[in-house]
Amino acid sequence: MQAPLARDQSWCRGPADRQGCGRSFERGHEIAAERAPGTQAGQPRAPSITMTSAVSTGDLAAPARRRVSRIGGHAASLPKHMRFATTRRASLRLAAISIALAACRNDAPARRQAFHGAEIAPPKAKPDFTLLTTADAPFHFREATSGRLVLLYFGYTSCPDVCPVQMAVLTSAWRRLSFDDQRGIDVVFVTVDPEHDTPDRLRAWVDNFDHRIIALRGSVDEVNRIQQSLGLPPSAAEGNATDGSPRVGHFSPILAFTPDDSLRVLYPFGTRADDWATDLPRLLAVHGGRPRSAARGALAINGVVAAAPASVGTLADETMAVYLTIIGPPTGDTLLGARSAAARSATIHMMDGGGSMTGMASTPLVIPAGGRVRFAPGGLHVMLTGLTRHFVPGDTLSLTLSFRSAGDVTATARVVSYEQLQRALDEPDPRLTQPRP
Amino acid sequence: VIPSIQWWCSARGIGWTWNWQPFPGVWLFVAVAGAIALRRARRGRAGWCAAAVVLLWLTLEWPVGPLGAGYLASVHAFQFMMLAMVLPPLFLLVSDGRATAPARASRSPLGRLERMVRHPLLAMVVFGAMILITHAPRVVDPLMRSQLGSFALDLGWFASGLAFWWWLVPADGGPSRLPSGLRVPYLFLGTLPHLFIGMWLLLAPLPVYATYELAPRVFALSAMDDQQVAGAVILLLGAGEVLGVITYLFFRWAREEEQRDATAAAGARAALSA
Repeated sequence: MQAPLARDQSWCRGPADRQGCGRSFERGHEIAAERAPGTQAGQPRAPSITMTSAVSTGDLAAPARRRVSRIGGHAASLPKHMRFATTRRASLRLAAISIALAACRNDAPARRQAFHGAEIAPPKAKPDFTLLTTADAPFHFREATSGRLVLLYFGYTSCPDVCPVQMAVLTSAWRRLSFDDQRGIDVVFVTVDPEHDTPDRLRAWVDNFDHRIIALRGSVDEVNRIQQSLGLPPSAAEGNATDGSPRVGHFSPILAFTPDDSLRVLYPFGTRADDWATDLPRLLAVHGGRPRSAARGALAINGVVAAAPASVGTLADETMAVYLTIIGPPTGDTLLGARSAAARSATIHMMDGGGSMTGMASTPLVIPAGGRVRFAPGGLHVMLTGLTRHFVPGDTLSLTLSFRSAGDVTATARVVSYEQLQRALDEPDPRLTQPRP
Repeated sequence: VIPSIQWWCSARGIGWTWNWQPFPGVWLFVAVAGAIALRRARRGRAGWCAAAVVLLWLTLEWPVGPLGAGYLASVHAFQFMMLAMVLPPLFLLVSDGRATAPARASRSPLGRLERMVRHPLLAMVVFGAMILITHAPRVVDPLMRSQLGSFALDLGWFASGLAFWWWLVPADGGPSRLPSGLRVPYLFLGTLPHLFIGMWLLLAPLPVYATYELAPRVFALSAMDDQQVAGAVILLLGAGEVLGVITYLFFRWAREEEQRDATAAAGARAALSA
């Protein structure tokens, strides 16, 4: 267990906190503009070299703190005229030294690998914890996100400034990536204010940014334990704002876990969409290449959910609908049929606009190249008829879909109640089921 | 917590509230500009002059001022259009000749300098350069963080706008200072950077200004949407005004030509009858 850190510029308290996170976001753009001496926002920056010793001792907030203190510390303490003169002279000297070094060394490839955030050396292992999703399903963080690029953020929905800006900037860059790269990334938001962030409120808030964000809840103690296991300070309730909304102090940088399941970079407030757009593909490529490299470009099945049947008589008369999303490969594919050991027959059905069953969908079902075919209530679904046993919410069942090119793909469906069905379908599911290589 | 009082609006990074804030620098600036304008207002134009002063005050005062300085690029674009494109011609229209006296004819160094500075080409180049430079992210982001920088931007737009429009606005109700054939090209070329800036903001794939990208959100408007609105404001307001002025200049030129022809015809008839 790491000792909690002193609250500093990477600590977000609220709009009036001009010494803490307030300083960070008040001068947030300075972080981008002045992250490295002599550089401007948007320019390639030299790799940060100041944080490794601190991070190696477990002080993960130190990179962000040190970075900000470098901005606001020395220069700000000088008189204005001296500050300008000192900065100009220092810049000229730095430029001359940089030119000389660039002429002597050939380290351009190494520099290109630098990230815009604060790198952590050595990287820390991904923590193992379980919290609840907004559909009240357990989410095993390490297992569910293994081999993927994960961007973890601790925040809360009433946060007036830093949290929404961090999420908005990150998701705007995320959406600009290629489809494959987007699929390789999980954005996980853990609320530090579970008392006020109800599942519905949390889901609605993250959906404002992107519906694929995985929003997690746990008790304050659970979340604080997770933060402390990462060497972060625990969050702390700090009363209410004048409008009555809660204020919670929390660690504000975004934590980037690379596909090798290690915490590698911290992105403080001030990281811009342009920085993310540059870094995300690089982070995806760290150690072991892109996630799911063996299956890159392959067909995938996602979000498989079955609606628990209502008892209508004998077991042989029971039916159950299964919903899922099929993500087409770049070359497209064709769904030929379905089968399941849980039922006598599995057929693909289609509901018409009026809600009545129209029977079999026009098979074979074409899966467009790179497109998504969603099986959802009121439309396509896999109808299981003649169940082999009673299924209740919480059960799982195996469903095999046969494709012309990909062959048989077997996915596990989670059985949920009708009341939970829509939420379960809306909940982003990062797990992809793909054909075995 | 009461935020510290600012004399001019600048980006502060704190969440937006609808609590009024005083900006003494704005009041002083508007008071000085208003006093000069009212003193030099043309006869019968005092009302219009007061309206121009009020418009200047509304453009710089809370809430428009702080919203444009630190929260919304679209409001910043609106301020820019007002300060560079709307208010300068308005102030020039209501002022008498003293404020816009032609360059002195003396051969002294001062007279030569004044003639050089008061050259339409220079006014056009300065205006265009000012627009381009003051929309570069590396200029805007650092300037918007300080009150002095933000003030310099506003003043630069207003002053360069006065210099640019001085050549187009009719002096004392008379003709423009530029020859009629040069007015439309002057206006078109001088405002071409608007088109460029507006298109750039409209089509940029990511937010270009850190100030607005990292600002606490207002009205649930995303940074990209806000930036696109800013581009649209510059494009639509700028294009609308330029087209309107060009249309006005064209009809004015046509009327002048008709009058000249009529005068020439009358002269010819008088000569023939004599």
